[in-house]
Parts: sequence; C-alpha cells; structure tokens
Amino acid sequence: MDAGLLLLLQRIFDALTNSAIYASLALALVIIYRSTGLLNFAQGEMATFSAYVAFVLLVGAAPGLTGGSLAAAIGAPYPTVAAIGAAVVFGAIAGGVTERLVIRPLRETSELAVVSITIGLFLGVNSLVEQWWGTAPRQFPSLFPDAASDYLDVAGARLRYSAIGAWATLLVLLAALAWLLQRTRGGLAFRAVSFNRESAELSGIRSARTLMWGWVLASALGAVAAALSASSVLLEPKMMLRVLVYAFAAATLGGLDSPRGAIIGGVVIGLSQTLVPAYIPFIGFELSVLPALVVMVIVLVVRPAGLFGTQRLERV
Amino acid sequence: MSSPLIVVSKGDRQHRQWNTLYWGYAIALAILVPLVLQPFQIGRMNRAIVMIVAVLAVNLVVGFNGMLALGHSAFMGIGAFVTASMVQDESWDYWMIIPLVLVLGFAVGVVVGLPALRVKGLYLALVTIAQAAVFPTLVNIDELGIAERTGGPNGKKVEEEVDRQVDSLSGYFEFLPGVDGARGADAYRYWIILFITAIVVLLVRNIMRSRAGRAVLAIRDNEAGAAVYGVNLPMYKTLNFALSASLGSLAGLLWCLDKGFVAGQDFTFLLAIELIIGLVIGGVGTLQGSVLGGLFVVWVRDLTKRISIPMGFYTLDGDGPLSNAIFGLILILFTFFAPGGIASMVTAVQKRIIQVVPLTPAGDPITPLERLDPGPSSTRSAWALRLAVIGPVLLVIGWVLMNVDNLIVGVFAFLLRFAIVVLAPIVVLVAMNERLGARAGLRGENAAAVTSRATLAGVIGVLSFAYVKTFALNLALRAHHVTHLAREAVVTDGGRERPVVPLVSEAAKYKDFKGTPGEFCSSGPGGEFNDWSVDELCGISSEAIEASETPVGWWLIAWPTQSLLALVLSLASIAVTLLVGFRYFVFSNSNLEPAKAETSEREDATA
Repeated sequence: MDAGLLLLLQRIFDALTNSAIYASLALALVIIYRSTGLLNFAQGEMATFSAYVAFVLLVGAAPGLTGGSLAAAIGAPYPTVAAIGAAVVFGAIAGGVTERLVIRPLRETSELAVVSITIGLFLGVNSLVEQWWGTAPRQFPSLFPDAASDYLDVAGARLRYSAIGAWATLLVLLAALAWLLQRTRGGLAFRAVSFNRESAELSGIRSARTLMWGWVLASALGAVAAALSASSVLLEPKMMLRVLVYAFAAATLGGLDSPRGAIIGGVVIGLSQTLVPAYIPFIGFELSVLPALVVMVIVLVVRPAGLFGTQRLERV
Repeated sequence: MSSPLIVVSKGDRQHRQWNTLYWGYAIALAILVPLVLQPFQIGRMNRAIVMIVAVLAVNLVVGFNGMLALGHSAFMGIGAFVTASMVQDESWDYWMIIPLVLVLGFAVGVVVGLPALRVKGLYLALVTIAQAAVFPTLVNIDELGIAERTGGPNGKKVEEEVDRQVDSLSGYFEFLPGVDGARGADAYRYWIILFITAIVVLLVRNIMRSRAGRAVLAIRDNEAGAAVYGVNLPMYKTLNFALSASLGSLAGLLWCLDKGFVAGQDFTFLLAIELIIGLVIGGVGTLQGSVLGGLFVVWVRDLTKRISIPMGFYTLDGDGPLSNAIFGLILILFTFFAPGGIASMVTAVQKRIIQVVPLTPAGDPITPLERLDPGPSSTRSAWALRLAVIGPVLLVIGWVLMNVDNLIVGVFAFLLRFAIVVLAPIVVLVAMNERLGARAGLRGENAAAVTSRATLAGVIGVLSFAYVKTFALNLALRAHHVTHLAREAVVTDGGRERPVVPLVSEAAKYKDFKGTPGEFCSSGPGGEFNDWSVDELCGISSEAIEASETPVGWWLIAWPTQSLLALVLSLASIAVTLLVGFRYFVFSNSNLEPAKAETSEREDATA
C-alpha cells in the first residue's frame, strides 16, 4: 500500500476515538435541544463531574481524595465497568434533578434566562470539581485493552482496540436510544412532546415529566462521553470544555435537531481536527480547533439549518 | 401598592431639580473615586469601567436585539492586541488607535455576524462560542508574523504606558482630581477611560432612540412584525452586531490602556461568560444594567475572593475555584428571583419614592398634578419613619463591616454609611412637612398618627444626620491636620535637611501595609529607609497618627488638598439636599388645598 495512503488511513483511525466522544456529547446536546429548544452549556461540566464520581468509585478510599471514604463505605473500589455504570446512573439522576430544580420553573420565561441558568451551572459545577478534586490531571484506567500491542492491523495501519471499543459503546448506546425512543411508550411520549408540546399535552402526556427524561438521557450520554474522554487522555476538571466546543460544532454541523446529524457531525469534526493540521502545515496542532469551526461556519452559510436539520419556517 | 413619596411632572422645575441632585451625586462619586481609593483600587475601578463598555457591547446584541452572543471576549482580544502592537511596535499614540480599532472590530463583526444572523435561533450563539474558543489559540500562530506581534503564549507588554504621557501632559491635566502624587498614573487612566465610556454610553443611548435603534428593538420584540413593516432584518441585525463588535474592540483598547499587558489567556470563553453574567445580573436591555453589571463583575468577584468562612473541618474559601461557584450561584439566584437584574430592583425602589408623570402629547404638564398627590391619605410619614429606621441600620451594618480588615468591604461599608447622608435630610424634611400638614388639618382623620410618626422620624433623622456629619468632619479635619504636619516636616538626611514629602510619596508603595503607624516605624517595612533615619521619618507622625488605628497606607497618601476637597464635597452635598428637598416639601402642602377644592368641584359637576 502506498505510504501516503497508509498514513491517511492511520490518521483516520487515530481520529476515531475523538469522533466517538464528540458524537456522544453532541447527541446529548441534540436530545436536549430537540425537546426543550435550549443549549445546555453545563453538559460538559456535568459529565466531568460524573467522570470524577466514576474515578472515586474506582479508587475508593485514598488520602486526599474527596469522597473516597464515602465510596469505600459503599463497597469501592469497584471494577472499571461497574464504576462507570454507577457514575452514568449518578449522572442521569443528577441531570433529572437539575432539570426539576432549576430548568423546569423557568421554562416559560425567556431563552436568555435558561441559558444563564446553564451558564451558572457550568461555572458552579466546574468550580466544585476543582474545589473537591483539584486541578491536577489524574490517570483514569482505560476502559478497553490499551497496551502498545492492542491493535488490529488493517492494511498496515493500526486500528486500536480502544477506538473500536469507543465506537462499539457509542453504537450500543445509539441502538438502546433508538429502541427507547421508537419502541417504548415513554419514547413515543417523548417524541410527541418534542414534536408539538401542546398537542401532546392535550392528548394526556405529562410533558414536564417527559422532558425531564430528556435531561436524564442526555446526562447519561454525557457521562459516557466523559468516561471515554477521561480514559483516552487524562481526567481533569477542564477536559470537557474543549470537547463541549467541538460537540457544539458537531451538533451545528449536523443540524441542531437531528441525532443522525450529531453522529455524522462528530465524525466530520473529529476527522477535520486530525487531518487538516496534518495536511495543511499552516495550521499547527495548537490550532486544531480552527478547521472544525471553519467547517461549521461554511455549513451555516450554505445550509443554515445544518446538514440534517429541519428548516424552520414561520407563519406570519 | 402604596403611593409614591413624591409626584413630579416630567420636565418641570422640581423634576429638573431632582435630576440635578441625581447627577450631582453621580459626579461627586466619580470625582471621589480617584481621591479616596488607593492606586490599586483605582486600577480595579478602571477595569470595572472597561467591563462596562464590554457589557454594553454585549447588551447591544443580547439585550436590544434579542440574539444570544457569547463571543465578545474575542472582540476585546482583537482590540487589545491591535492596541498593544500599535503602541509597542509602531509607537502610535492611543488616541490614534481608537478609529483603527473601531473600524477593525466593525469589519470582523460583519464577517462573523453575516453567516450567523441570516438564520433565526441559537446559531449566532454557536458561531460566537466557536469564535471565543478559537481566539486564544489564534494569537499563537507563527505565520504572518502574528505571534511576533501578539507576543504569542507569553503575552505582550506595553512598555510605553500612559505614564510617559502623564509626564509630558501632566501640565495640562493636573486640574483633574487625583492626577498628582503617588496615584497620578492610575488616576489619569481613570479619567481617560471614564471619559471614553461616558461617550460610548451616550452614543448607545442616542442610537437606540434613532430610527435604526427602533428597528433593532422592533426585531427583538417581533421579528416577523418588523419585517412586515419593512425593516431589513439581515442588514439591521448585522449592523447592530458589527457595532457591538466594534464597541467590544474599544473595550479591548481600554483594557490594554489600563493593564499595559495583554495575553491570549485573558480573552477566553470564560471572559465572554463573565460578560453575560454582568449583563444578566445588571439588567438585560437597559443602559443602567450594563453600567451596574460591569461594576458588579469586577467588584463582586473581588469581594467573593475574600470570603473565608471556617465551617468546622472545612473552610469555605472564596479565593480559589469556589469564587466561580459563588458567581454561578449568584447568577442562578438572580435569574430566579430578579430576572430584570439589579437595574430593575433599583427602578422598583425608585418608583416607590418618586413618580414622574409624563407630559401630554402637546407637551403640556398634566393638570392638576395634585390628583396624583397622595393628599390627606398620605403615607409619607410612614415612609419617613421607615427611612429613618433604615438609615441608622445601614449605619450600624456599615460600622460593623468597617471593622472587617478588608478594603473592599470597607468601600461597601463607606457606601452604606454614605446612604444616611442622603436619607436623613429627606426624612427630616418629610417629617417636618407632615407635621405642618397635620397641623393645618390637611391629613384628615390620620392627623394624630401622622404627627406622632413624623415627630419620631424627624428626631431619628436629625440625630443620625448630626452623628454622621460630626464623625465625617472630625475625620476630615484630622486627616487635614496630619497631612499638613507631614508637609511641613523635614528630616536630616546625611547632615542636610530635606522635606519629608518626597519620602512620604515614596513610602506610598507601602500602602498595603496593614499595621498601625507605630508598627510601621518600629518593625514594619519603614526600616527599609536606610538612607534616612527611621526615627526621624517616623518622628513626624503626630500623636494623632500614633494613636490611630487607621492602616498606615491611608495616612501616607491622604494629601491635604484631597481631604479638603472631600470636605467641600460633603458640605456641598448637604447644601444641595437641603435646598432641593426644602423647596419641594415646604411648597407641597400649599399644593394640596386647591387640589382638594378642585376635586370636590369636579365631583359636584359629575353629580
């Protein structure tokens, strides 16, 4: 195989893990946007919090680790998958509680009010994480086999197990989500409320409670994204800020109300982040965020509602 | 709702007088800032005023046009870096850069805004987030000499600060309060920034009253409706966004002017969030809101950093990551309980005190105004009593806070104590008026209650006013006395006698020294004056200084002129309050009688 082509393939493989992370967080954003029409700026930070919960459950009691003894009291250290599962459940509950406490009372007010709330949550959760667990990066155990030899040889390029694992996780989650939304009664109610809240309410659906499930699902997805992110790099309080920006770009690219668009947007953003700096020397690694955002702006100019989004029409 | 304390017709003499009073206090505060605050506090004030411009820029888009923009940190960054580069590399003067920065910001605003503003919804928010996220890395690009100009990751320092201009121009600007002595440079910057900010606020106010401004507001209120009435949506949205970007860049220029150092990490997404916080807490869509919000983000951030509450095994420490959590909490609380921000709270209070009745379409005052006057069922004496109690309570809170060893709390405490200077005369005058009214039989059945309440309020008002004024005069006179001594004093330096004043201004760099003057001389950094005998330097301290508990920094920079000016200002404030208040309240009783007669006539007519 041609060396240049091989390198390209290798780079695409390298981008896969990040793509999966962006896609899952973008999906979380899209779920909330679809149902309530708002952007959750705290999505990334809430996810980081869940990742720290997972970390505490993994480590158990340790000197200087906030909550360690509490975790030990309920049986920590847990195995990796169990700890992350518990953290995802924790994240989901926290998301639901957040919605109930601070988002629902303000749903009828202005857009800016809800955005301010999520910005306030963003600041609050972020600084709580920093306060409790410090800013130093921590080693998060890998979810998948991640030794130097753990890769699949595809035409000479190395496809790492962790990338396969990340995508497998994402696909399983997608399948579960699709099943939830398409095949269950609750999912039907959720779709009905997202489609037209008033009609849904008139046909007896309790829209407020249904919308809370949107937050629960989104927060669970975010927690998975954070666990993936932490296991692919390091666990630190600011890790999801960058990811959040990419996820916003991915969601915009795909269309803010399209789950399919979020996945494809995540892949495009992940690829552009790796490939563009590699082939355009002008853009160094420092600037890897730039191409993703330029792509986003171009898409907005050409197709304002994103690649898969619904064009909004307004009756005058 | 109880009726307001005072009813005036828009634009008449009384209204003008109240406006004069309001602006008088605003200007007096503006003048007191460089005189009373210490240099580093003036610097923080400068930062706050810069934030006012930035929050105002965000307000143009978010508040007046109803679009969500989260990327003004990048515009500020552009303005700051361009300024730093032009001053440092090209030796331009600051005033020459202002048009450049405005035009540049406008152009960038058009480029960023045009794609996002074509679509409705949150897309502008997304594009601007992207812009805010990418900006800090953009300044590090090596190509095109960008990193060289911006200083890359190390940031860029502006060596030629305004200090140079202060030296060359000080002859022209010495008349500005505070532009001399130890804090000349900071005070000089303060006046420049304040001047530009005032122009910007005025500009925005006028634009919002113009045809274009009304179009922008119409788009916010009803986009489809505005389009139907022929408003060119993309054009007005883009122009408004570009204007906002251009003001954001101007804020960046002021930032650079104030700080003399710019770095990419100062202009991150977090700064953009801080601007939004300022906007929401100050009050969305109002000019006052921007002003209050700008002051809030800087001063309250400073305050939360100083919180330190021991809670058993755990210390709640505001100077750390938690300062952000406190900010987030404040933001959430405001969104819930005061969605209109501080501005709406101020307006609510103001409405209960004074009601301005608009003119008729022909421009005449509505007559009779007295119909709006509470008349015999007046609750004024109740109000006066309330104010009379609030004043001393504020005074006590201020006094307690004054004992917290913390300068910001001190400033807050000063403001609380200042409130009584305003409240007390109003209380006294209202009480006097009510007593007169009751005696003249204008308060109907309430007369007895009104009289007793008014008497009580008046007594409390007089006592608290007298107490505060005696205290303030005493302090001012002592400061004047001590600094006068300092100016006259000489020390022996290597056999030569020389005046102490240069020494004192040098000692001003120890302004943060928290001990008493005695400690300063014996064990504090005063020992560093090796060339001069420490005993001699400190020998000038009169007994007043020695005995004083006031931190030494205060004495070192309290110049005689300033303490005198503060004295004059405080006397003037008393005079103005008395004059305006007296005029209104004494004549208002005579207003009531014809009104009563007229009302009864009208009742007769209808009957």
